[in-house]
Amino acid sequence: MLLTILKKEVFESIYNYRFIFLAIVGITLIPIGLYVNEVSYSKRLGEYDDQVRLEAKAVSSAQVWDLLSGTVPLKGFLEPAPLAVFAQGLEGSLPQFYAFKPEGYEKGANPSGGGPASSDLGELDFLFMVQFIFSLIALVFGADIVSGEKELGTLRMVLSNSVPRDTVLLGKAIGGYAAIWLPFALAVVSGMLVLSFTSFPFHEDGILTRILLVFVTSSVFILINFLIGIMISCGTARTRTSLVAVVVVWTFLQLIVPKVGNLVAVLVHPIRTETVVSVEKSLAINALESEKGKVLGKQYTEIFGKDTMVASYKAAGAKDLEWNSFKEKALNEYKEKESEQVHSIDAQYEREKGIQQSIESDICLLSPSSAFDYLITDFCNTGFAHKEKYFEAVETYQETLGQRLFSMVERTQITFPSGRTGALVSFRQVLDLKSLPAFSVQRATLLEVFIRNAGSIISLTLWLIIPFAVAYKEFLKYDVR
Amino acid sequence: MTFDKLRVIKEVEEQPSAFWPDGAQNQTMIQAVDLTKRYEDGILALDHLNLEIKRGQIYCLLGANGAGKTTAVNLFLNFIEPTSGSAMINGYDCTKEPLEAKKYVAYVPESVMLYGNSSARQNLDFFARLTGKKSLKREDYHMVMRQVGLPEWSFEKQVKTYSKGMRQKLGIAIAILKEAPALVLDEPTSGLDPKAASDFIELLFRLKSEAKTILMSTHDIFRAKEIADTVGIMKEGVLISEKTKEDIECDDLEKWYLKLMQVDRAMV
Repeated sequence: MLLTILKKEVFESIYNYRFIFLAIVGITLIPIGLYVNEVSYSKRLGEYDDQVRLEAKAVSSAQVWDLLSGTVPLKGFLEPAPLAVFAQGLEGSLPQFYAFKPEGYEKGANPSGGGPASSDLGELDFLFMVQFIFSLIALVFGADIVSGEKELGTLRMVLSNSVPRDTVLLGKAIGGYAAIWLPFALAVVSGMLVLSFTSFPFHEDGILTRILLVFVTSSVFILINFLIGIMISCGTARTRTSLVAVVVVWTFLQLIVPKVGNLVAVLVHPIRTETVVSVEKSLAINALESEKGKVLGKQYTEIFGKDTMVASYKAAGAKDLEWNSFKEKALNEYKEKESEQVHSIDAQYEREKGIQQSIESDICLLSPSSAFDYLITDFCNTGFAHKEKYFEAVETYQETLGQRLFSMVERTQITFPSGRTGALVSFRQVLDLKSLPAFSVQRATLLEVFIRNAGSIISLTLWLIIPFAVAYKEFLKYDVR
Repeated sequence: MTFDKLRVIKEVEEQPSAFWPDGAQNQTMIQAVDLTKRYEDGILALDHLNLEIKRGQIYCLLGANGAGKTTAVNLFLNFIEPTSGSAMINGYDCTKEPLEAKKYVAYVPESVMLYGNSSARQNLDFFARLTGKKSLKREDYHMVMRQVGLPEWSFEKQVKTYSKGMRQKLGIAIAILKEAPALVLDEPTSGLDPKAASDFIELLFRLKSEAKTILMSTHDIFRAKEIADTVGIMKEGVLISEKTKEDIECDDLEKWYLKLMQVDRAMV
């Protein structure tokens, strides 16, 4: 009986003009989108290779002092993710490179994507097509599935038979979904075929698994939208009413909730901007540097009885030993103080930012669209997990360079009680630039992606269960009048 | 099941069968006991309806719009739940055992609506499968369609090209194919032209001759007089009067109906 209803639903859906529209849209847009994005990825990969090569050349021909002084900054470039072909995600908004200097790292330029319109509205990638086009079509299909038959009167004919209502609903849901999923699957297969004729790195470790996960998650997301449509359909008696409701719900879930998340988070928990935090850190460091300079200058004057620093190549006397011992102690003490202050400012900012992001993410996850977006972009290594990995890599590389390169020279400004200033410069050892590690960003593993997206997975699961449960309840108690 | 079996319904009906477990000739097929329906908005659509239709009888429910005829039909098909009382088909409570009760009843609505993109045969096949008949052949469907008077050329045509009369006939074909011993018809001749209505009544006579029990709600006094064994008049949710075939033949049904419609419900 279930199979009979299911087959009927598939047959009726296939004869619907919306099926033809879906098939044409899917089979044309998905392969074209994938092809265009693959071309763009290949271009970015070529640019990345060139930049890395040129940077290596520039560094190898530079003087150590140029690197230490920051005249020639060491740059770490972000390698384009192959799966950005499916979902551009944050790839276009992340800095293309970071420049590493003794005083810290600096963001490089953002890669130029499409024109202003495309950057505002999102790229026409696989994610966009599923998130906006297929979701809307699935909702519209679902919205018609029960209310259409209620309005037409065929549901009375069906329910006058000895058929359990849950079987009718299940048959219609499975059959209707199959009619959407088939053209979608066909479109994805066509897209894969198109990609197989390009240089897309299918052979790379884990790529196929991730593509499969993208496909399965997209299928689930389409099902969620279809079930929301059915839920609306079960609660309304007319197709027109359910279509209006569907448009309202789609706008709310796709466009409003994801944007409102950020707005509410900013209003509920405002935080300082990164620039303000950076200024705060600079001010704290400057204050400590100035204090350190004064302490060193005072001690120098007390030991040597003068306020002029002269480099001495003579054997160290008792005064030199006393000075060096004091200087070493003071430098370490202020280094610790600076580190403490910077960490304290950073930790407080991270805490505040964490709370704001958590509020934003919690609100956004109310929408299945956001949950889907987070999950897909992380599968494709173009999401927040990738952004975190990139920043982690930047922090780690800066630290590594600090230990292995920048700390090899020490410059300290000192201020004498008389007001005169001087500088202490000391080299610790000769550097071999070739021994410096290359900058690289680790991709988030699938396990990390799943752990990071537990909220998204829960949200999608709930969106899968709740609409069907509501539809089921509505349909069972539905008065066939 | 093949159509040969469908064709021998009459013979089957005359013998104890699955539908007639006790083989009783005067078995009550359709029954309402104090059947009441009050909708959420407070409207009392049906007020303690009591009726009993024996096997092979045709019962016509007459009444103006809003009298409660369709509500009664909806209750027998478990489309809605009663506020109190019970509706029964072949002894099965339509609310407590709806799936069991619906095995014994076929339904033809005021306007038979089917899947327009499918052909008449495909629609028949779908509804036959819903009743568990999976092995009927193309010719079996064609035979039922011939039986209800559908023209040959229309058998494989999409139903969206059908006129209302043709759809009503197809609705009857679906009901026949179900082989249910009872039929519930909700104003089936409404909107049909005189020829189509006459054909339809002829079909009902044929079904009656096959010992089918029929409950038909209608506005059409003359058709009711023509075919009914019992006529019930409904007004404001109450069955205010019942007349048997003998009473109808003696009295002027129209006058009686109009008189009942004019008097206050409390006086009846």
